[in-house]
Amino acid sequence: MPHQIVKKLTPEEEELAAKREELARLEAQLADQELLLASLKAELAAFEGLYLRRVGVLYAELDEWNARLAELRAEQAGTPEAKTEAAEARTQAEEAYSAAHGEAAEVQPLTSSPELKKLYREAAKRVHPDTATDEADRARRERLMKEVNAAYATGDEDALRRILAGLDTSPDAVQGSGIGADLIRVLRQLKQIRDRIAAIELEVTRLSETDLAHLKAKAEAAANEGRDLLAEMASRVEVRVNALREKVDATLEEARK
Amino acid sequence: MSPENSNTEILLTTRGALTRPTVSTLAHRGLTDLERTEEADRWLEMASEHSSRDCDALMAVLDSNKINFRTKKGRKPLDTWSESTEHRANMSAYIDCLLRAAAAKPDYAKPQIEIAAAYLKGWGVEESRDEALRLLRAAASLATPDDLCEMSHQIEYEVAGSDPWPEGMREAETWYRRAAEQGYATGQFNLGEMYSKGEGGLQKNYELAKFWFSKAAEGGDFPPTEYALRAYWDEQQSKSK
Repeated sequence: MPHQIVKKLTPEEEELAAKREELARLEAQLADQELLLASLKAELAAFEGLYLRRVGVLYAELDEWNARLAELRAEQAGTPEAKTEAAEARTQAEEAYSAAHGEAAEVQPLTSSPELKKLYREAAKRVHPDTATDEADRARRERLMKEVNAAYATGDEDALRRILAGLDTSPDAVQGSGIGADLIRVLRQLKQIRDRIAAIELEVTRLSETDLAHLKAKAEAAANEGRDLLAEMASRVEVRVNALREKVDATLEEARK
Repeated sequence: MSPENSNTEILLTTRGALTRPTVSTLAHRGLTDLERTEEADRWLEMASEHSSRDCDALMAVLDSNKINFRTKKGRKPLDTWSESTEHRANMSAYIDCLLRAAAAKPDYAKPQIEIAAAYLKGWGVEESRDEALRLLRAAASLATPDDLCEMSHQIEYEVAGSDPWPEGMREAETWYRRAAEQGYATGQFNLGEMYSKGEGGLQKNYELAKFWFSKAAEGGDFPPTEYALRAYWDEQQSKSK
C-alpha cells in the first residue's frame, strides 16, 4: 500500500467524527422506525376502511332503524322521556352514518412495494425534523416530513422521488462553520433522534392496543383458518337490522289501524 | 407545546382518520359484539364436548351475562334501563347467544326455554305469548323434570298480575304433572297447588292437592307442615261455606 498522508485529528475532531458515525447509525434506525410506524398506520387505516365499508355501514343502518323506532314510539307516547330517547337515538344514528360513510371509509388497501419502502426510508432519514439544526430548519423539515408521510400513505413513489431530488439543492446541504458549533449541533441532533425513537415506540404500542388493531388481529387469525371474520360479523349485524326493520314495519302497521 | 411533541402530533394526524372518535366507536362496537360471540362460542364448545351437566354451566354463564347485559350501564333505575335503546341492543345480543346455543345443542331444552321466556318478557324480541308457547311445546319433548317445572313456572310468572292465559296454564298443568309423575318434588308441590286453587283447567280438589303435597313432602326438601296445613285449611274453609 502506498504511503498515505493522514491528517492527525485533534481530540475535538475525533469526538466529532465518532458522534457523526453514531448519528448516521441512529438516523438509519430512526428511518426504520418511521417506516414501521407509517406502515402500521397505513395498514390500520386500510383495515379501517374495509371494516367501515363491510360492517360499519350495517351498524349505521341498525342505528337508523333504532332511531326510527324510537321516533315512532315518541310520536305515539308523546312523553318527554320518549322524546328525549328519540332525540338521542337520532343523534347516534347521524354520528354512526357519518363515521361509516366518511373519509375514513374510503381508504383502500396500500400495497407498499420494496421500492416504496426504500424511498420512504431514505426520505425519512434525509428530511426528518429531529435532525434539524435550528427552528427555521425544523419548520421546513416538518413540512417535508408531512409530505413524505402523505406520499407513503397513498403509495406515491414519484412524489417521494421528487422530494428527494429537491433536497440535494436545498440550503440544508450546506454544513455549519466551526468544529465546536458542529459538535454541539450533532449532540443536539442525537438527543432529538433518541427522543423521537422513544416516542415512536410508545405510539406503536398505543396503536397496537386500539380496538381497531384488536379487530384486525382477530380478522387475520380468522383468515389463517380460512374464515372471513368481517363477513361473519356483517351477517350477525344484518340479522339485527332485519329484526329491527320488521319491528318498525309492525309498529307502523299498528299505528295505521 | 415543545417542538418534539409538535412533531409527534404531525406524524400522528397524517392519517387522522385513525383518531376520529365516532369511527373508533364503530370499531369498539364491532369488537365488543365479536368478543361476546367468541365467549358464547367458548361456552358452546365446552358444552358440546361434555354432558348436559356442562350445558347447565353454559346456561349459568349465559344467565349471568343476561344480568350483565341488563345492568351494564346500570346506575339507572331498572325500569328506565329496561326501556332504553341500549338494553334492547344488549338483549338482542343475549338472544343471539341463546339462538346459537339452541342450534348447537338441539337436544337440549334450556336455551329454548330461555328464548321462550324472552318472548314472554319482550326482551330482545317482539313480545309474543303464541311464539313463547310454540317454543315451550317444542322444548317439552326434550325437557327434564326440572326443565318442565321451569317452563310451567315461566307461564305462572307471566300470568301473575297480568292478563289470564288459560291456554298457557293448561300446558303448565300437564308439564307439572309430568314432572310430578316422575317423582320430582317441585312438580308434585306445584301440581298440588293447582289442585288447591283450581288452576290450569283443573277442578278444585283438596284430596288430590293433599295427596301431591304429601308426596312432595316425602320426596323433596319442602317443609311438609306448611303445605299440608294450607291444604287442610283450604279444605276446612270450603266445608264451612
